[in-house]
Amino acid sequence: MDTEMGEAEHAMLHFVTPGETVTADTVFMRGHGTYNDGEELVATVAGVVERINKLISVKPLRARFSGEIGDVVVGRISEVTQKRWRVNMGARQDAALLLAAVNLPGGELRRRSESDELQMRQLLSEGDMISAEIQGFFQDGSASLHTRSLKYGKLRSGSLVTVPSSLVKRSKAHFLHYTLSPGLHVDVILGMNGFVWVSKGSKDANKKGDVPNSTQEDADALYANVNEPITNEERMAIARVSNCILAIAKESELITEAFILLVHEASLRIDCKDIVANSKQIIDAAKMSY
Amino acid sequence: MDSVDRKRIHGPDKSVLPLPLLDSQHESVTSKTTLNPSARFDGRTHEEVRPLFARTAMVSQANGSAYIEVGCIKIICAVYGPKQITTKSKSGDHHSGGRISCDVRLAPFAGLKRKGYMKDTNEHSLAKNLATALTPSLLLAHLPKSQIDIHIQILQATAGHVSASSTSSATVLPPPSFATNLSLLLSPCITVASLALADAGIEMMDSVVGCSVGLFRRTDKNSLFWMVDPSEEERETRALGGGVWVGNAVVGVMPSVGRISGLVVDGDVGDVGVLMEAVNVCVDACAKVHDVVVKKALVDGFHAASSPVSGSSSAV
Amino acid sequence: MAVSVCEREFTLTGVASNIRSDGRGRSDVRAAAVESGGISQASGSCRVSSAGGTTVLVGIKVAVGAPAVTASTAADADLDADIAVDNSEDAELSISDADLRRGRVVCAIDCNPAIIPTMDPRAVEDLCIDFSEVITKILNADHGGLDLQSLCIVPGSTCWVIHVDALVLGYGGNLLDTLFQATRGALHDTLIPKVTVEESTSASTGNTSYEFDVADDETEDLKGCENIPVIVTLFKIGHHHVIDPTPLEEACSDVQLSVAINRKGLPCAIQKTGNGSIEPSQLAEMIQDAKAHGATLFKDMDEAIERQRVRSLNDTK
Repeated sequence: MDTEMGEAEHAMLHFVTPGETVTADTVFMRGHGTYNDGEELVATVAGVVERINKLISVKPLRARFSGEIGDVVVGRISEVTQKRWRVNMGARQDAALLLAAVNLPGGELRRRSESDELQMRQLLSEGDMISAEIQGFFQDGSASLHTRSLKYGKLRSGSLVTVPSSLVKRSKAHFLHYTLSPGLHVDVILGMNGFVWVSKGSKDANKKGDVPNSTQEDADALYANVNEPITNEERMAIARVSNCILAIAKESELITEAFILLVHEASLRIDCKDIVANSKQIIDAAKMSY
Repeated sequence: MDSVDRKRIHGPDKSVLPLPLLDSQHESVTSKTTLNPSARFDGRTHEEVRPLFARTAMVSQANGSAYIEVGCIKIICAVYGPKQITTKSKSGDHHSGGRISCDVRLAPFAGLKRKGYMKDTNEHSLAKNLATALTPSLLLAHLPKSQIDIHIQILQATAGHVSASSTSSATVLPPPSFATNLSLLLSPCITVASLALADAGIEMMDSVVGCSVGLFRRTDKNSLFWMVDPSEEERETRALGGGVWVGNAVVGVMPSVGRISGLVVDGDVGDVGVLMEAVNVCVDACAKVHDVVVKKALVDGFHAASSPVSGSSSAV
Repeated sequence: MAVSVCEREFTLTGVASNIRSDGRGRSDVRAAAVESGGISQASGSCRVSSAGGTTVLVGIKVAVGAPAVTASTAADADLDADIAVDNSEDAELSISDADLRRGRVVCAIDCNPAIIPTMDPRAVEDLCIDFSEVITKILNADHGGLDLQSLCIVPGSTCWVIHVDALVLGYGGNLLDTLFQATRGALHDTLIPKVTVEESTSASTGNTSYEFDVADDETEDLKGCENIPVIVTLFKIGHHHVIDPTPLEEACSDVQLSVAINRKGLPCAIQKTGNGSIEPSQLAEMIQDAKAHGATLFKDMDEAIERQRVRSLNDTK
């Protein structure tokens, strides 16, 4: 389902509109985007029918991000309330990041005290950008996030790009690292919700994953508000990658690690600020060099 | 003719002011200004501001207040706060610091014609420009979740007389031009509001003083000249002895740090060099006003508050 | 808009290095598409859509109404009650007469708060009121370019009132400049019905009375459109300033200077907004930059208007 569809496959897609019967066969279980009207399964959204074994669901053409457990998302803190932060990730509701679900400076197994609650703003305050993973959902459908691994947390040294969430597919790699030229690194965090963080890359290509015994310094540095020094070249590279991602989104192509690199190559002959205006040419050139 | 009321004595249908006397006075002044544009109707140089009267603690109920009189303009300002913010804003109150809300009202009897109570665009614009000029001076980061309400009441906005004449060099009412109203009133509003804020004991980086400058074009030489703090007569008389009013600039200045916190320029001001010269002179004039009037008003107000006998007001 | 400390610092250092988040320099603007005449029911219309997402649609309706100063209000103010139009005095018309012969422009801007989700709904309304006032003020002033005297029908009582109604359809930063650009385009597109005015002087009283007739089919262009200024708003971010900012850059800017530049390349209105303050030297620098941008903007807009004129000529053929 991650690959691009060919012409033949395109013809086999079953489009439905709200109120249209998807199937009258009772053997199927109903999934998202459908409801039971007596014996029949009727679509509630306008979209494409997806069948996985006995589960039938209708995937809408365009919808706000809803997400599933395990999704990597990028979001902005919108509110600081008792024991949790509210995170805006472009979904139907703001997600909740519980105080208990973040790494606190001072070690892994520290008990959350009252002073932690009162000092939540020292860690994350309104406007901060974070990357996190969806841990679960509350009864009302809002997501619960966690930043338990060291690869998640406050985002620095970069800028945000927003694309439609349907263009970001679930994959193994959401934390991308590009070595555009020797010494020039750019990191991209592809949030499933369509928020993409493009930043200055870390020197080594191996990202720090879960480290069981994080040092005090690592933990303290988690919530620092200081950007790393960025050279003009790196800044231009970040801008170029950002514009490439916007160009891909403009042409409604899937945003994947490989495609971003291809588009970047194809864009090198054009001025950075003109990339989005010439998106069609660049995307066509990138697709040809597959 | 049948409808003439014979019981009353009617004056002439058309009445005119005793012009010969007025005109000759005017003529001598205008001829003076033709020769020397720096000599103005009231004898000031083109860099001088008009005498200002300022006094604090005029409204006992308010946390801070001030009153100002310059020319024919009388403005009173009351400051309430800092107090709990009344409306919640989306972005979160704590990290944006405190908020100010400015409200400017012209009294119904302030102008020549009675003005109703409906707020009009002039008042809204004045309030907005006033807030813009005052905000940089306030240390709002020290007042999270608080708001300061600034209420300005303009008691008198014009001299109230019009010297009408049927000859061509007419001195007439200001045209219903927005720009004229604004510049006439914004600069004293800024000064009195800043004075009231200081009277309320609100932490500020610096006072803000407002000053306006009129830009005129010499009809014969087509060059520009400016005059600080133009009075109503000067503004109204578009043909000011050899010069035509082309525009004005209102500047709000923080004198101690020398920074401009408010700026509204209107009119075909043309040469940027002349405009910047005028703005720089405003900055100097504001520094003088600050030293002589604002400081004195605050000090006198302090003395008045601490001594049982009501103290003197500061008048220049 | 809530912005993180890191993003603010990134933006500031980017502007200082002349490399903004989208690769533009401080003086680079995003491309904007200008289309006029889309709304047939309006006397004039224009839509400007910027590549950054800011889209504005302006519709103009002209109506017969009263000027700002009428004969009755002037009389109240102690002037001569008879506003007799005596040809011999034409050369020495007092200013009051000129004001009685002015048309006027009323601008209203509407923006649905949902379009700017990062701002409070009341703040959005306030913003619309502020911008409406700025545009109304400029277009009604002498330096607004329009020949308002040509809009006079009956001096002192009737004139054309031009209603400028702007709709904000999308927001991507730099709203005021785009609004004024669309207003300018719409005014260029505006056609005013021809009016025939008949003067008759009563022999007994010596008073002049007027009758006017608005033609159904004949229209004429609005005079003076070429002289309408352009607005360039400079946003000070750190120690430098940019034009055409993104919403993030707007949130990082502490002082905004809106400068209206006329065709001669000179400023005719300046307004400072924002919570910060500037030094006089910075002010001079910003005004000079605005002049340069204004000149470029005039050139671009003239070209766009010319293209539009050619296109509509070809359409009517």
